[in-house]
Amino acid sequence: MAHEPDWAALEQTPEFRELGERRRRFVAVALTIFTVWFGGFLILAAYARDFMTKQPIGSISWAYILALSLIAMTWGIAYAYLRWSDSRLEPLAERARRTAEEAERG
Amino acid sequence: MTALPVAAEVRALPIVVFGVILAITLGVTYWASRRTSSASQFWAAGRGITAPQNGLAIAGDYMSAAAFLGVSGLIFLYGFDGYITGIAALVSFIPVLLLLAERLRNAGKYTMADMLAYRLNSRPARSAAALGTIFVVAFYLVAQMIAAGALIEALAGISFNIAVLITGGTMLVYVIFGGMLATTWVQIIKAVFLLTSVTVLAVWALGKVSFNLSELFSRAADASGQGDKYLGPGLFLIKPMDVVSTGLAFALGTAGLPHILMRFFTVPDARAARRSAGWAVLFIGVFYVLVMIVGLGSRALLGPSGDKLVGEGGNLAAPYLAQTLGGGAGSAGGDIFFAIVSAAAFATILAVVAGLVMAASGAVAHDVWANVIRRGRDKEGEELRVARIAASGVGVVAIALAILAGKDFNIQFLVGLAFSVAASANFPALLLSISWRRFNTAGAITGVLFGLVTSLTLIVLSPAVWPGPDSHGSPFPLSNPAVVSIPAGFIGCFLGTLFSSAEDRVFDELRVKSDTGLGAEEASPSAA
Repeated sequence: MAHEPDWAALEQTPEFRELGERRRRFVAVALTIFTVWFGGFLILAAYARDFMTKQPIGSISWAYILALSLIAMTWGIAYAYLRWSDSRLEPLAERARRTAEEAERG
Repeated sequence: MTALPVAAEVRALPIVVFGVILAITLGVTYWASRRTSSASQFWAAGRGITAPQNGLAIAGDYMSAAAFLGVSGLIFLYGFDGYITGIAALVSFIPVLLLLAERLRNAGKYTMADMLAYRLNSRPARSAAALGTIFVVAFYLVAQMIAAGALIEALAGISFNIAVLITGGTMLVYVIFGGMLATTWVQIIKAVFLLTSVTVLAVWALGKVSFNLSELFSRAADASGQGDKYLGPGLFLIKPMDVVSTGLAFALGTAGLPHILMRFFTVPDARAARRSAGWAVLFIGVFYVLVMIVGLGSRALLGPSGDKLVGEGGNLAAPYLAQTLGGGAGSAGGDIFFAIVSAAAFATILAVVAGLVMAASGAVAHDVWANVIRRGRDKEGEELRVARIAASGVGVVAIALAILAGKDFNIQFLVGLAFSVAASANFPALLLSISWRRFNTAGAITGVLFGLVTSLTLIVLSPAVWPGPDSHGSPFPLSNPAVVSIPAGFIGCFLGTLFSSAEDRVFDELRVKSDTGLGAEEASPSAA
């Protein structure tokens, strides 16, 4: 068994800092989009009922158009996150892991 | 011959199809039982489930009878308001994917309490998380069992008590003998069966309006008797604040449902956890587009007798739409399609309640017994034995409560309560434990208690309970307390943290491990 590494020091390494920073930035943007879109939808459904009942495309109302747009948004964010984490996050995590394993060996 | 006074006539065809489903799933359970001999296999299926399989299983947990029959039925009855909970439950996947999925897999073992216990003072933090889990699962499980009994009675003509016993007994066989492996495969089989049936139902319904979506909307609005109002919000969640509160409860509560979070422990690594969440989002999104068409289609096509057929809550809208499309009552096509869609609902109920029992058994056996009472001194084999005993206990209690409550019990408030507790007690503590350095044990405990107590109190004071359904003089006006109880949960976490001087040094370790996967539980440790 390798001895327990110094986690606080590891957390301070540039490799790990960059991993955490990049992830935080992506998550912050994605969660902002999510909050505004879904929050806006709820507020419109609660307080703008006349608008939501209007039918801009044939008989299809804004309420359903916005609900379907939320499904598209969920797909979009999930797809973007998976693509981004495979191409950007994984190499960073791999680098941070290697640093940690070196530290573990002492 | 006429011994039953109720209208529940025994239907042969649905019972035959139900029997086929029981045979297939029990066969899967037998197969799984021969691969379940350690605690890691029992709770996490040996961590050998692939990402697409787990995605289907997670989607299966989401696509409960309430999501399929409940949401389509509410759309049938009230139009757009019925759709809001479904959409909110789907978008909750964004916080789950971005914040929880990978970290749970990297830092946890079997239950969401593992995550809290990792960096906080283990026993009290674990107890608090287990308490939240047990409350959520108990309310949800009893609600599902009551719904199961009532639905099976309506669909197949089997009486309520017997239907609850069959459902409960089968669920226990899956869990006790086949553990998470059987529960996962039952869920996958059901997810494929349900998605296929709903696709056929929706495409067939659309075919009736020449695949013109706009035509479907206008015919549904005409048939509803409400006109254009039927296509907008406001017919079911009358108070605007109820829309906000219900939406929040489903969007954040789904992210705190223990039986869904538990599935992230069944895959080999964090990358698979992330990808399984992606697959789940794809399937659930497709499912809710189809459910919208089924709901509106049943309103457009069932005709004037529809309102009487679908029953209270509109739960039977989808099966009766199938009957109508197949050729109507009495026709062979109508009977067969009715039986198939009913069987999809039956399979859904079985798979979802089994997942709930898994989560409850994890909280009771792994969290409370093995780690709080026995302080981790038991061997693996002992943990497995306790897990099975806990599952049996939870199952028997749920069956008894469902039968005692009876089929007329208002389950809507039980479901609202489950989601409200999940959003207010579980979600804040879970989120802060991975994101806030200062967070500590006292914060976790006060957070869970604040969320739990606020939800319980406000539900009791709400129109569903005080002093009876649809009361106008309730002390708390909203049907769902989430808009108050979620902030209460967060405030509890903050206050508890600030009033305690405890600092913990494990945060750096949790941070590094949960972001990189160092030291994460390996797949199939017993296979070696």
